[in-house]
Amino acid sequence: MIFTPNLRSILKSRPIWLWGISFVVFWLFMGVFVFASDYSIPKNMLHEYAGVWFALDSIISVSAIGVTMSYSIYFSSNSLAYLFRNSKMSPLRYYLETMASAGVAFVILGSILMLITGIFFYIKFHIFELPNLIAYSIVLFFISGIIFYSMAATLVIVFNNWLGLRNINFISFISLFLGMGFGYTALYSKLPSNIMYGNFITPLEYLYVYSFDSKTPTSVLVNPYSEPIKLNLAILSIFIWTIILMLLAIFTIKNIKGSYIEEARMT
Amino acid sequence: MIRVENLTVSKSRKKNQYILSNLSINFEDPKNVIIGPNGSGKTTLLKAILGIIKYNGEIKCYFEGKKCNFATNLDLVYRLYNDSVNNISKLYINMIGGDYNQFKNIIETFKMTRILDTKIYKLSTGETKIFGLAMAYSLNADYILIDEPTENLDPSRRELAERLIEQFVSKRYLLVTHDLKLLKKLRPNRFFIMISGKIYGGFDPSIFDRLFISREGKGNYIAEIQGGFSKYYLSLDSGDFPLSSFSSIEEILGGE
Repeated sequence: MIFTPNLRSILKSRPIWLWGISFVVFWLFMGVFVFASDYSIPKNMLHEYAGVWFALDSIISVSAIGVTMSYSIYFSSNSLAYLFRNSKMSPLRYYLETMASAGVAFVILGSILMLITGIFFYIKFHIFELPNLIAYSIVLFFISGIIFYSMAATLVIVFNNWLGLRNINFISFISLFLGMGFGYTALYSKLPSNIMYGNFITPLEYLYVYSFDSKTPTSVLVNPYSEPIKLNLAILSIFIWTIILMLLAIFTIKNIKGSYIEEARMT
Repeated sequence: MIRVENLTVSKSRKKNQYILSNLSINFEDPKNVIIGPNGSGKTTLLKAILGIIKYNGEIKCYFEGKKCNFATNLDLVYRLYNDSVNNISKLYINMIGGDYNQFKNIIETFKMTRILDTKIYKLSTGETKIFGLAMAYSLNADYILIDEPTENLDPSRRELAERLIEQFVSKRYLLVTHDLKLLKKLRPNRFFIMISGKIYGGFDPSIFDRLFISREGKGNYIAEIQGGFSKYYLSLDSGDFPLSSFSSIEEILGGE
């Protein structure tokens, strides 16, 4: 019913192409053509280097999708509250279809990022760098889309329904703040284990790195000699967070109320 | 029938300030009109019945033994995506049931086919009104909730809108307006007066021309209405001013 219109809406969203792709591609460009120029990267480390950039950019890109989804849910809250009571669309069906479309959207967008990564590295280093485990990467794209969509939905509805949200801007950017915060931290610092595995962004980033070079990533991504992470814990963390966020999203969507906006003209 | 019991809607984040306070009313007849000034809570009542705002109390609607569903001209319920009017209307008709050809015919009657390819968020206020009316009339719903159907329309389209609403003769509706002339044209089963979150009636529209409004309660009055600062009394066949001499409720209240 709404899988296709939702997917179309995400893929036609200008903010997604601006923040989710262009902004990220800019940083990828910097990583390949600027940051890599000051020192030579040994050829045997190039694939790992590409993997770290791919992972970071995927995280930032999907967190930008979370921003757009927040706005989308907020501005459609009156419509959703109406439809759940007056049409054959149930909250569960709405969630499952939009969740699936968010997942598929990020498979498409993530694949574009993956290709651009390969192209940039080919231009600079004449090696077309792609993930060793492409299927694994694609599954991660899908799961990332689900996680960030579920988080965006939960946050916006909680703040709108129960905390009287009037301004969507700060709430919508929480996903981007988290994405960039945890994303960059994992590059340069080793977080305490409970924080490292206790959030869903750092394990996702590690798994993206793993999908790229099929080696267990180190806890400090720029330091190949730092302690390797526990892959099983990372996978378990993602699994648990996916379930928690899905359940939270279903519960909040079921109880959605209209927002107090009188005008919501979007460009 | 739509049954409203002890409905309370508070203003956002403000304690002890209510738009509607312990409102109880039954809309037993199929066609009902509520007349009231701006800010009386008419639209809030419709939103509560639609289920899109938080409220305390109970609202029940049953038709032929099952729970009702509603269609409305309030455009804010049709903003699921920022997509074209054409795609949005087809999507909603698919989800709720309805007649897309009827929707398109209404848009063509208003000479507004240009809006079919326009994104919903880019419609002007008048275009949004027509879109809302067309959706309300085209969806399969047990009840139609109509909010100020002729506001923001130019005179020729206002007339078209009134004629369209007159075709609601086969539908069940609850229509809110401040336009007393529209009430006279529609001839519903019952009409109500709503002021400052309180509702009075339902009155038989056939007595509309016999109704008088007064500042003092002389003799037998059929309703005592609390305006902003003053009380008004509604009576039959005698009083200070005939209700039909006013074009809107705001005129009666004089800016209260």
